[in-house]
Amino acid sequence: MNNSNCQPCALKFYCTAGNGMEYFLLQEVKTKLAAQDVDHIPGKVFFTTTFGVEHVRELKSAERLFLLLKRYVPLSPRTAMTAPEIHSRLMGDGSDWTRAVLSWKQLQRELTRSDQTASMVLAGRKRKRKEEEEGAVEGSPPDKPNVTPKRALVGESQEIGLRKDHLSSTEDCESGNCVGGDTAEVDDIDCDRDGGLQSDAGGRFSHQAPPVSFRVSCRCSGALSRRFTPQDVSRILGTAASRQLGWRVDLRRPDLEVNVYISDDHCVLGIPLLSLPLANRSYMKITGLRSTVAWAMASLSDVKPGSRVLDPMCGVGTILLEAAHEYQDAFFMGMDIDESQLFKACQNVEFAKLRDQMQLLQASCKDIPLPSSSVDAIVCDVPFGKKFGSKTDMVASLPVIVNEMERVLRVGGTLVLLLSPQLSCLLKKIITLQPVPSHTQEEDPGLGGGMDLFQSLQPQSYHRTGPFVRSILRQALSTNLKWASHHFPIKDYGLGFGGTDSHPHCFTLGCKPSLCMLKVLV
Amino acid sequence: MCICILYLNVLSRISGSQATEVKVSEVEFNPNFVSRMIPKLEWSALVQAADGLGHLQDLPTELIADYEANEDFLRKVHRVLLEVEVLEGCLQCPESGREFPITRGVPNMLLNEEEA
Repeated sequence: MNNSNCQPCALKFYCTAGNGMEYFLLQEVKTKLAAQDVDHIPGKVFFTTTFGVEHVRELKSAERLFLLLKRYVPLSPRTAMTAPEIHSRLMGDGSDWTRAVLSWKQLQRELTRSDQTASMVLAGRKRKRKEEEEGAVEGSPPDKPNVTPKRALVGESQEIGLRKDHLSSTEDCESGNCVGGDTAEVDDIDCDRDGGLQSDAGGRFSHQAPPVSFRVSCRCSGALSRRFTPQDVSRILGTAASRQLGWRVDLRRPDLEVNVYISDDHCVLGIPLLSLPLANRSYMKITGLRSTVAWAMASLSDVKPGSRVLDPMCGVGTILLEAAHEYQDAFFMGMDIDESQLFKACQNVEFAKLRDQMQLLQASCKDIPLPSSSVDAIVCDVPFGKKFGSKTDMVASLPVIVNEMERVLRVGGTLVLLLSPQLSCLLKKIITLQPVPSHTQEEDPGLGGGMDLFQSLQPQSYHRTGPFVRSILRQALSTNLKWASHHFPIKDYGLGFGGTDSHPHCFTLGCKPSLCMLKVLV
Repeated sequence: MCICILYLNVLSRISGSQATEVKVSEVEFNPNFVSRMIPKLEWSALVQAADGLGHLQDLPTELIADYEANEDFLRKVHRVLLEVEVLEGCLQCPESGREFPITRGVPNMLLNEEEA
């Protein structure tokens, strides 16, 4: 670990990701963090980057952020490790742990620094915001702070404290905080304690790693979980850490936590860097759709500077807010039929300071008050009927809704929908039965080219798709529509929809001469 | 409701006399954003709306050529597009005369049963 502040060093991190979100996170770390050594297992994406932690924490498709302590692939999967093996393979000589804690300390300093800067700016802005609200409406310009909204709001989650009841449990939920080591000390720990060398019972520790207080948290599955409980594993590793490294056990308020994940195929040890998941956005006041999925949808909609993006069933505006936060040169419109939803959306827009980029409208998605071909992209989380209205209502309305969306979308525009499996099947049927607009009915000499283009885009997908989808494809091609198939399986994407299963498919719809992209996430 | 919405709804005009609450705020100037929005505007509608609200000021009645490089012009457009907001008022369709109320900056464009 480099001591000089000017030289960036590459650190290894991993993030947990919701089921199906790995694809998006892989793209994001490469794009935003120039990540190297990018790798993933189900639910986790590993990467190495020289970018500072204040950038890493801005990842939008990740759940939680960890510093990688150790990664181990068992040589013989299905055969559980014994206790000594756990010790030797996951602790070993402790050098990985020692190294990790040094990096962790450095990262904590960086995080505190970036929070402090953000808080100071935030305090100033809060004062100004209050003044603005209390002042006269007409002609009282609010001061615009010097810091861009993104950075300034980073500290807000620390101060405002997001409501936990709005969070759904992630894949990464620990099975319980477990004890490690001989004694369970419960004093108040001073977090910033660097401290000199302490004499711990039986402690043989290195001078480079001043003792920290810690606890171990385990999650086990597969063969190992049949032999050991999570508490057993925690005890093995906790004892090792306190004996070999002199770390102090603290169950209540440790300096750091070591997160251990053991399955048949992988062992991953890491130190969580933030207490709240990255999915908790500091700029989101009232939550709706899971922020990571909302961001993923926005990322698929091909937003460019000057794009006009519409969400005709925006609810509290989650998708548009994620999009507006990410793409600052585009304009976003949210519509909803429900006044109470719009009211919450209004609050969200105000809170996120995105009023100049967003416009809300009360309107029906079956009758969108916009001219035809006036929108560059449409993103929509179509209500499944569980939370809003009834299932039959939505099924009956879907054809009208999709028609309206297609009408206002310009040729070459992108449509991104989040659907339940049932609605997704229905959508496939609607699109085959839809009459082709008259202006495309002339013979298309490039149809062969269209087929080739499709195949070159998705050479494997066509053959991998089932017979039903293939028949749609053939029919579509014969009616001058180009289809391709992308697979975006997403599970557990909504707060209320934890149990919904996934059904992977997505379509690209094309009308010569330009494409109108339709991507469906289920 | 900021005037930006107008470029989308060519059928509507803001009825100046019925805009009961207009707010002017200071918004950070983003020239990229403004110059990208201009081609998507119906210029005469924008001018008419701004005029109706009493905020036309020095906005040119004709769209000038080469506006991308003209910061002065872009700033004028920025002011009208993003800094003037109708908080309470009406959108009126010039064809049907139908009025859509604006509450807290959000227009209600729902049609009744008989109109749909």
